Amino acid sequence: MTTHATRTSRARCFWLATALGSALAVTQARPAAAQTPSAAATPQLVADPGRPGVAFASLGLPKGPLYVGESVPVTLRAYFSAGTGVTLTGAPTVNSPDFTLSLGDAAQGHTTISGEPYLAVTWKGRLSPVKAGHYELELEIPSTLEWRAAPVRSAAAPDSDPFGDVFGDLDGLGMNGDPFAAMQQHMQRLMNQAMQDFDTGPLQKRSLTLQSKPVALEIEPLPAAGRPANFSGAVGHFTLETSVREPNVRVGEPLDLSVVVRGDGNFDRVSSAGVPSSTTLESYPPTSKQTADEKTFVQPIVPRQAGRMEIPPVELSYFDPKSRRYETARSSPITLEVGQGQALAATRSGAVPNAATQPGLAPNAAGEGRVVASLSPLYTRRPFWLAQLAPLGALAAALSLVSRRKRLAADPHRHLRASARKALRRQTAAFEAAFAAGDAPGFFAAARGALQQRLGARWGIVPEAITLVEIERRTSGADLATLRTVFEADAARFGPGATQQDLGACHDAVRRILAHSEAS
Amino acid sequence: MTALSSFPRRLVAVLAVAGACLGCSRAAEASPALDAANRAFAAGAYGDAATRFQALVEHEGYSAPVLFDLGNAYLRENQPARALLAYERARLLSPRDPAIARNLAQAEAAAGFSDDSSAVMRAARTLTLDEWTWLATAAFWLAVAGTAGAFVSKRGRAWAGRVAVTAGLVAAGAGAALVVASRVNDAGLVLEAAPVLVSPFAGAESSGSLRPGARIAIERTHDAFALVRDRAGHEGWVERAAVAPIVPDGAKYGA
Repeated sequence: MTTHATRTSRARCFWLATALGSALAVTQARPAAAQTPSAAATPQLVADPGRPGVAFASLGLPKGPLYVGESVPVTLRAYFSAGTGVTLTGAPTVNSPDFTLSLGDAAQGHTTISGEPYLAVTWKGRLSPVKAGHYELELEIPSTLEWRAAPVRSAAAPDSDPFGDVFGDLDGLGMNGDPFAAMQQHMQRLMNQAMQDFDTGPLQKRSLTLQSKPVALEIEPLPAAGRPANFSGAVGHFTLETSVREPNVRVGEPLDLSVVVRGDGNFDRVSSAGVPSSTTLESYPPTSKQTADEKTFVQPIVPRQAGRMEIPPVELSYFDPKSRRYETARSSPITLEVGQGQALAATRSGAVPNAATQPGLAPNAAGEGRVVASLSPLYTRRPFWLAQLAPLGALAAALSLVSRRKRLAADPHRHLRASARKALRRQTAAFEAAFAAGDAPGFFAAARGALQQRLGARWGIVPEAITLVEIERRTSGADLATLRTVFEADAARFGPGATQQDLGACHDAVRRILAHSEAS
Repeated sequence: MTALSSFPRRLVAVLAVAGACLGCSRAAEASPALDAANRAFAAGAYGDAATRFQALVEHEGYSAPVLFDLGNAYLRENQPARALLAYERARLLSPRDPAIARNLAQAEAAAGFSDDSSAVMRAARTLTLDEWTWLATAAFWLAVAGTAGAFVSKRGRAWAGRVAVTAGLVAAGAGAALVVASRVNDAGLVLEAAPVLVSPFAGAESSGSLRPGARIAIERTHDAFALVRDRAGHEGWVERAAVAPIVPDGAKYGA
């Protein structure tokens, strides 16, 4: 949306108020239904610049008949009376679907028509008919106008001496009147008058569609006679030029062929298929980009053979409205030097040397070999990462084991217990060996040592500190008798002369005490 | 320290067993389908042989010899791009096979290309991706175990430290090689001459073309189109039917 503001002066306000107030009919305008103002406030809108009004439009077109697809320059001008606020609410449109309209940006300026200043908005572009026939062409410009209504003067116009009333009243009333009340009323009238002189009526706003004067157009179809087979609808006058960026390429290397179409006409209807594939080159569909005065097609092509290669000329057939006949623009051929050293890229043209004839091909492998279900690498599979838990767990276990060993090695109580267990095993073995050999002194010595180790570990004291006194203090019952026998063996009858039967009874009792002590 | 000394051996054993379990491989027996394909090849019916080898791969799985024979059939059928694809897949499974390397070079030449791989890439191709994976993994765990041993053992600290450093270097090297070699996961080949489109739609404008046999990187897919990048870094959309990933079940190809 574009807003155009015109200069406002007090004189123009009065002119506009007069013009609006005298407008009795709206011509060439379609006001919006929702905002239809009263007839007295409707601006006068005419399409003919010869009849100046508040707003009007004109359309400039070349004379003569047009052809379908022809693109002709068009100039659209809209005039708005200075002092009118103008807002364009949309782009200009053509009143017929059988035309395409392309307009550039609007240019704004001031001009004078019949002695009256106007704001002029100008669009330039191109118009193209798409269908033959007779047309009354109009262009429409949606816009919004704003203006101030004419001021409404009060019945008591201040055409007399503004101070006369005050002094007249004072003179008339003498000392009996209220001079301050009369002065207050008169000052109020003066203020109202001043407001009417420096301002106008209320702001008026109206949406409307400004239309140009209809232009009669005769659209003729393109002639069938002389139409080339490759004509694709281009109308105008064009030239053609082709180029490649790198003229020296190698076989199989793609390069871009640029086809540039320049001239005056409807570029929307210009198309080119480029060069066709052949035994010497392979081509692909081109892409295109377009500006106001040229259109460029870029076509990928791939040379198939080494040596000198010629890109054939590209042709464009078009209808020239000026000469009223079909013409053909033709580019110049392009010569390329295609280098050797690479095999051909094409696949099924037959130009590629058959690989079966190439020497040095290793023969087939025998057998099927190791078969895998997937070529995806191992690290993309979940089982592999789950398997990593095994070394992780092993490492954690090893570290835990080493740590525990270190911790235990640093524990003195555990060390004592280990030593006691070792000594107990040694004494027990000696005890069993002496019993088996019938060695009574050795038997009792070993039995005493084993019992000292066991009881020392049980009571938490040094084994050597286990004496009969200590045993008697802590033990009672049958175990005490056995222990007393063992510990007093040197001085009793179970000395060197003890029989095997005596040793057997004592052996069983000692083993029972050792087992009991271990269990408890 | 005794337990720690035996730990690396245990680790290697565990990894070896796991690798054997995860290899998902099996010794294949000569099948009638393979015999038929070989007979067709021997009779010079390379197109028929290629079809049979391809069916064998699709139904039985991938094996380097069959893929190699498939490439030979395609190459003799004058389809170097498809031969290249088969050879590349065979090389994934058997990277040190000189016959595969030789015929792959032949197929590249027939397609109009040459091996322009860097020395780093060629070095990374000396082992399969799985071999690099196992080497990197074993070396990594060995490095971790050596590091742990160096911390917990006073007597074997120097020895464990040397093991950790050596294994760490091996793991880093193998990991780097794995990263380089794993580019093949996104790699693909152009099977048919295809225009490169600016967007993944049939009516989109073309920005260039790709030749059969050209190596590309497949970025992603959209419906029937794949976004590819050529060696020069140009990107564009091509029809999926015109290209094929070297690793057919790669995630980016949407398989």
